[in-house]
Amino acid sequence: MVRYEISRINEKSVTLDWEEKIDISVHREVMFADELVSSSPFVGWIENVPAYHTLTIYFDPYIIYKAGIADSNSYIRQYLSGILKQAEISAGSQARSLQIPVCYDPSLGLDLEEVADLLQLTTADVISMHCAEKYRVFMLGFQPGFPYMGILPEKMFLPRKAKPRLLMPAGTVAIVGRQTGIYPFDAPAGWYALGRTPLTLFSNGKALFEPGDEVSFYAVSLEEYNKMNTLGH
Amino acid sequence: MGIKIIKPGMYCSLQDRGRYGHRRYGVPVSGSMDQYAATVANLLTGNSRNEAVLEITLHGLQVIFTEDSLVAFCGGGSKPYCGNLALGMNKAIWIPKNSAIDFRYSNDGCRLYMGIAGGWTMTPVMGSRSFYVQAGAGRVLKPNDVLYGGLPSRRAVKMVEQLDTSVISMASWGYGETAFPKGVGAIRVTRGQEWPMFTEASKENWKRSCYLVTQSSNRMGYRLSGGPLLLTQQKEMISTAVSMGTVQVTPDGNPLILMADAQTTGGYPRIAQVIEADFSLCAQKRPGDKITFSEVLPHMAEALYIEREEQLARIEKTIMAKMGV
Repeated sequence: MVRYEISRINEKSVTLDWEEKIDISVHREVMFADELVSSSPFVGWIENVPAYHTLTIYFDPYIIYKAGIADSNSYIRQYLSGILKQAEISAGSQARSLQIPVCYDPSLGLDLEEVADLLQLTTADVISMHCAEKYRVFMLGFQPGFPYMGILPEKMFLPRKAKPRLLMPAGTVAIVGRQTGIYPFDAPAGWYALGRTPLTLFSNGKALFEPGDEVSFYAVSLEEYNKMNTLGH
Repeated sequence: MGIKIIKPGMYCSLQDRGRYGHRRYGVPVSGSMDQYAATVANLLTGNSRNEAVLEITLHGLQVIFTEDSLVAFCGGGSKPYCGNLALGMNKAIWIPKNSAIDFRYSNDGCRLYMGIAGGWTMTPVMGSRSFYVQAGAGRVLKPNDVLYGGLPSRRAVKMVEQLDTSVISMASWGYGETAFPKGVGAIRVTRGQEWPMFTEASKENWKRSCYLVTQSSNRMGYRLSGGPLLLTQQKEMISTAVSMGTVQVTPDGNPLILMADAQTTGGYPRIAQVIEADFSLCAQKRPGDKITFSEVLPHMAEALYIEREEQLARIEKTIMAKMGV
């Protein structure tokens, strides 16, 4: 494994920190460590939350204490260095590949025209650039099932909106910085809406995406969107 | 056992010890904000610690008992009455069918927990009975909603045998202490990951000034206002995992304490982390309250957490012993 640091965040969590950047090879290491920890967890382990360049590991130090381990810090550090030491990123589990339909009709892509203006591109350029990339799901957060994906081409970089939109409708596909994401539920948001997907991102306790997924978008017409939407895809 | 909601009051929801294993999908932990009071409310009604309790925020709730019930109230924020009769805190209470109970103003605390023998029933969602409406767990309670208790334990049944079931009757013994730590003590914190990035003046503000719990404070988080907290230089951070107790500083320079329903990731600088042992204290703060913070070292925070868990284990033993069986 490339260099990471371990910090105790609070009583119930430690974070492994890799170099602070949005980077696919960094994230591969995060996901690899995630898999190693969850497949042979330590005493008191609860769950992991992978993010861009961090893996946060939650545990209960009371369970560690009850197991007769005096120092939770050195116990967890030893466990982690043991499990991550010889680990070479190789196989890991194969990333899933998902193709997501998006309707970029201006009635749904509420900021599409503004984005085109700001980037000095045509709306058709924005759509084809957004669809041309393969993205990686770096983490889920903000709302149940919200995928933070990247890496958006540099040409599409936009800072966060100064004035957030009060209601971003569920299914909205949006961009900001080098990231793209999809809102599973209605929410206020400072991202730019390019379009909308008819897919449901979170239901019955299940998220459509997982960290590590590979995602690409394809454009569908308003008619196709409506059809998929009523079918409840 | 059960109740019908007449007026839902400020906000109430069923909560247990929380929903674990789904944070990687962006699902918050939720659970009772004051786990201490919630635990005592469960134990006093003969339940195990993980049954669902009704978390009642401040006053205004009115209910009618649709069935005979054995309940217990712990925490603060309101005072339960049946007509002119004030119901006791921290003890088992028998409430006959058709009793109307309303939760009146109290100047103390913020969240009251009603435990019921057998626990409040609800089909678990992702392994938990904690409401989190966005992820499809529970829903905002409305007038005429009915909540049911489960099957009382043998301990609860034995308790009921000792009570006069023709009227509201309270157990002769209770847990005896306020189930939430009262008083003016500072909330204890450890340093956050971005502590070094704040200006010296901000660090002084954080240590010394008094912060107001603003009206925009709820189960997701407490927005505070007070001495401004500024970074030595602006920095765009990459989001990472956050949890209950994380104190983020929003771009306006005010701290935000993340609470039980907070999102699982965040990208604001973290100045501090409230220690687990003081979550209950925090949960009982209400809008308008003022709080100060004092720093403890991480190993101290862990020792205090273990001590709190040991204390809960002792309370469990004591209550079980008193109930017999």
